[in-house]
Amino acid sequence: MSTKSIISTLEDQFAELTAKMNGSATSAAHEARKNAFDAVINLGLPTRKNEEYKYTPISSELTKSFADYSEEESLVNKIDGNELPSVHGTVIVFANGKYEEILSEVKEEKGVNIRIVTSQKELGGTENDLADSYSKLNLALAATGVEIEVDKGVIAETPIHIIHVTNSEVGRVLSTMRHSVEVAENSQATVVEYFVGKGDKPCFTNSVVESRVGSNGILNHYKLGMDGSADLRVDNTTCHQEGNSVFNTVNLNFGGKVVRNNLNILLDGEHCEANLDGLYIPVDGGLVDNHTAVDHRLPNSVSNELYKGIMDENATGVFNGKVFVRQDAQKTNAFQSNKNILLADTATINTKPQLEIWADDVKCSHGCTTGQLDAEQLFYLRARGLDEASARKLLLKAFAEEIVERIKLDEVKEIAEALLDERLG
Amino acid sequence: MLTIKDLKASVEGNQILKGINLEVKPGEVHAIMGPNGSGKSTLASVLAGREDYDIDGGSVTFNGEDLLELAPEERAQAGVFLAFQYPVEIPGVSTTNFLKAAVNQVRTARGQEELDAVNFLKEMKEKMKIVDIDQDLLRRSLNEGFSGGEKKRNEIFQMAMLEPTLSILDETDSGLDIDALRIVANGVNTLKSEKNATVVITHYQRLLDYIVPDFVHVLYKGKLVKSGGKELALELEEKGYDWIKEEQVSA
Repeated sequence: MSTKSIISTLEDQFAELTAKMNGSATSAAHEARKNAFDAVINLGLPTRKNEEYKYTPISSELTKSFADYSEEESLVNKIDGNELPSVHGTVIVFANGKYEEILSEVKEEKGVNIRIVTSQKELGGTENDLADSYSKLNLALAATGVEIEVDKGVIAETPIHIIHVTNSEVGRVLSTMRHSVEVAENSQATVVEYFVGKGDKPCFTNSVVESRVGSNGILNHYKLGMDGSADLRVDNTTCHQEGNSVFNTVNLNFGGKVVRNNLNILLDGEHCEANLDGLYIPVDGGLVDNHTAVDHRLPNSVSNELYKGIMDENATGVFNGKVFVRQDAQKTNAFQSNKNILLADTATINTKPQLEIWADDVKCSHGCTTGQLDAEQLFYLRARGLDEASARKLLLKAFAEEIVERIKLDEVKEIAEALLDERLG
Repeated sequence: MLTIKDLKASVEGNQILKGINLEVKPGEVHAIMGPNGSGKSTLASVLAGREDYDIDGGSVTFNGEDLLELAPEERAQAGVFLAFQYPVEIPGVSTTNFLKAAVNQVRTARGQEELDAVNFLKEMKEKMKIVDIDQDLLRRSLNEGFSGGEKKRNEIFQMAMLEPTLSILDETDSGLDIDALRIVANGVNTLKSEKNATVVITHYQRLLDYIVPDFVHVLYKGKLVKSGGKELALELEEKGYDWIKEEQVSA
């Protein structure tokens, strides 16, 4: 079994995908993939010298964890369906980067088109923000994913659950997936993503979701990160919103060695509403990084952002919130808040709001707090007879609950509550 | 029940309590009065176990136990209750939410059986009547947006639920209108028994019209300088605290 470095592995993967293209290797779509791939290889994976990755050593961890890697390793890992979140609706499972038909079930619903893609040729879409190297890498290497289209005027009743699971009990796993969600005008859909990690060896998951919400449409997008403590993940989610549309996204992260979430929202219509909420509770030795960007292009739209983090021993949180209000985007309301609790001297948060405003008639605010648990609140509860551990848990839960409550799907909210309880001990 | 001997305590190097002596027996109501800055709230805080204070000397014994050695929750479980002067706001935590856990931890510590959801609710409904508090209020985030009266009624409601043997009311009358004051005082009086004791800490005599003390003590510059019956409170009301100060100076 021959082993190689991560870069050689990626090069071989891309060469293999190109070979499978059969006569389509010269198509415009594949040309775009090749350009994206070459750019990553020529520039190298982003290191901490890159401003956007200043606090997030994903590339060095990836290089280190996947030195001497053999792709055959991932083939020996088995997935136990009983260990996956038990949810109702359409369930699509990707196990170790491959579509797992046996564990999946697509519920038929009129006007809701779900297509599972298992070869690169069938994958479309390059709308994603390609400024990010991992997004480029995803474009080049993704050969599997789900494409969801909700027809005009259709309120999708069945939630769509996309479960990504990696098992590294025997060997390491590299996986790349690319999904798209298109909600046409006057339509609604709910998509829930899960990232589940089993096993102690590292896995690297590179995932992209490209979404578009047509005018008067609503997309609810929930994401639950249950990555294993050695897992590395980069996630690029984009949403392109048209006039009067609503995008609600809640992103919870409870695990991972290094997890990087890039969320890019483009408000490309008037009277759009984007609600971005996130919670991160990295594990001991873990890092969760949320980079969000909301781009107000046209007038009269609203964005509300609230990200909260709890960092205990040796845990690191990173938050970077960009808000752009373009010259045409008068009467924009943009609110951003990032709140952090540090529970140990070895806990870290790097937080940076980044507002760039070119319009003059707007309401924009941002706030950031970092502190310990409130000593007065803790004392109050203890003075009423609650032991310190219970009082701390109660306060942390109340802090985190504000985000969890924004999940409007009961079943998913319950899973999130259980994960939260488990994380808070 | 409670024996305080020569208690000295400081905060950030400033000694606030400079030798307090006090004996409280079951069934008694003690009032501790004093001008601002005399150390009233410090005494309440030290008894409840607030960690910002350093104990420089003396002892506090509660039913034979060294109170100062106990964590705040152990004091509560042993039967000490502090009604806060400024009840803290806790967003996302309702009274009902934390009180069930608190009551059950206290009950377990006292060797009583835990209350299940049904019995807890029954108990709550019973105790809500004592201070005329609304259930909706108890479901809201603790003290967030509560009026002054609602906050203090909630304190006494919790006191009723936790069934302490020693209740310390820290300036419970501050910020209350006369109606709220009556309700709060009535609650305290309803809970009074031969087995429990109350220490009322206040600046004004007003509250003592409703919660009638057996003993009144004057706290001045970190010491209890004068003790008497309820008539001492009336004298303070009439003459203010200046004559105490003068007495101290001439002594």
